[in-house]
Amino acid sequence: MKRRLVLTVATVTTGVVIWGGATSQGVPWRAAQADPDTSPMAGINSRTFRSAGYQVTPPSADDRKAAVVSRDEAVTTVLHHGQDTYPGPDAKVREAVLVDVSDSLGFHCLCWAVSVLPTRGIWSHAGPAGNTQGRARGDYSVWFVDASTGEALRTLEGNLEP
Amino acid sequence: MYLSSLLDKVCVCVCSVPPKLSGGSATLHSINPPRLLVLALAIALISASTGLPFGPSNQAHASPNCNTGRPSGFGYHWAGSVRSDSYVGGVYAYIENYNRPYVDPSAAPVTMWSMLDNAGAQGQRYAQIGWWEDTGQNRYLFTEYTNNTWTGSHWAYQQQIYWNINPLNGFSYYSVYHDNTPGYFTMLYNGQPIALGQAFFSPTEAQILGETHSLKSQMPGGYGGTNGANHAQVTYANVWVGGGWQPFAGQPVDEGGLWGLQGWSTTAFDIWDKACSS
Repeated sequence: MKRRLVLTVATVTTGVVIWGGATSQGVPWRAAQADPDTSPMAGINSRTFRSAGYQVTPPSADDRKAAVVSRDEAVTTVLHHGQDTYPGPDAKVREAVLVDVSDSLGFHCLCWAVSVLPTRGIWSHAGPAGNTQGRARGDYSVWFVDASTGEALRTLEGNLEP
Repeated sequence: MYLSSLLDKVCVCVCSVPPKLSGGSATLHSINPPRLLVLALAIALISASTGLPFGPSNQAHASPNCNTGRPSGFGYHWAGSVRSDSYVGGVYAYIENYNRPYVDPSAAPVTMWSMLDNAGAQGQRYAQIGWWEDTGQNRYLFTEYTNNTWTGSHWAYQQQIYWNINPLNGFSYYSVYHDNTPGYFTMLYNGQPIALGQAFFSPTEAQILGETHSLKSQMPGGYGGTNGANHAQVTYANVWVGGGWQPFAGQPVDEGGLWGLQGWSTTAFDIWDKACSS
């Protein structure tokens, strides 16, 4: 009984020491837990946007008033983008959210972020010669549609960051 | 025959084209787009007045949107040139926005681009910029680069398509710099930074290529025309090697005679689809 008690105390102590060390050293899994995702989109996290060089945040109440293009209009713009076959009128809309988008090169807009699954899927469009790793498949495709003009500005797509 | 050896034979004054650098301490920051454009204009005028076979041609293309007669089906195909070294810190080229290739609707798009890459043991990593054409003759600018996550089959990538930038006809500068912004790749369109990608690898290769995803699609360019006027042209191609800009002088990328490839100098070459006549 006494031996079992000693063993239990030792196990708990070891666990506390390891946990404390991990916390003080900023071990990645602790840091990840302490870094709540601030993405306004359910399916695309902030790390993915940052990886692509973008900051995507919820708009302020004042900014929202500047949106003259409706969500439905933005979705229609994406699905019927000119005569494009991409993403295609049969693409599946995953979500459409009003966001503030900016990058460090001066791009900024109040945009509808329309996340879609294109009819022909999400694929890398070009890669290096001699590529032996096969065709790269993406996880997400999000279109930024200007909420003031209704113009499709950019599409960002690729793989989600874990 | 290696393109570089072919290029050496015809290299005349274009070999001195690299942009103005600020002495021995030149860095990527010393690139001067306005001077580059002035230089490009001067060379184009010289070329036009002398008839020398280099520099962009103003002649109209006669072989767009051609039916190649080849079968459909997904597969990567490339034509162009590749330059390797222990470190390649930048690449730029004045690439023709070819008007226009036929695009197999089942395996779009057709593209031309410049790239920095590194053929690592676990698949290739890269940063690139170029034009791409979708089915329906829709033309856009794109950037793409890999980051630091291995998905199990490829390096995770991030791609951007700029719907309001439509490079069609004429030429544009497509550039990729490593560490110009420390820790990042910078993709530039006509000298303007348009995308930043965190740099997780040290580039050892530059590529300037046309690419299709189906044999049925047309590799940019068609044969024929005076001085290769129907080709898709690449000129003012340079790489950052050994601490300075150098003529690209790369190795050819061809596929069993399907594509034409002609070097005009160490900084200029053409590609075309041999199935597309003028």
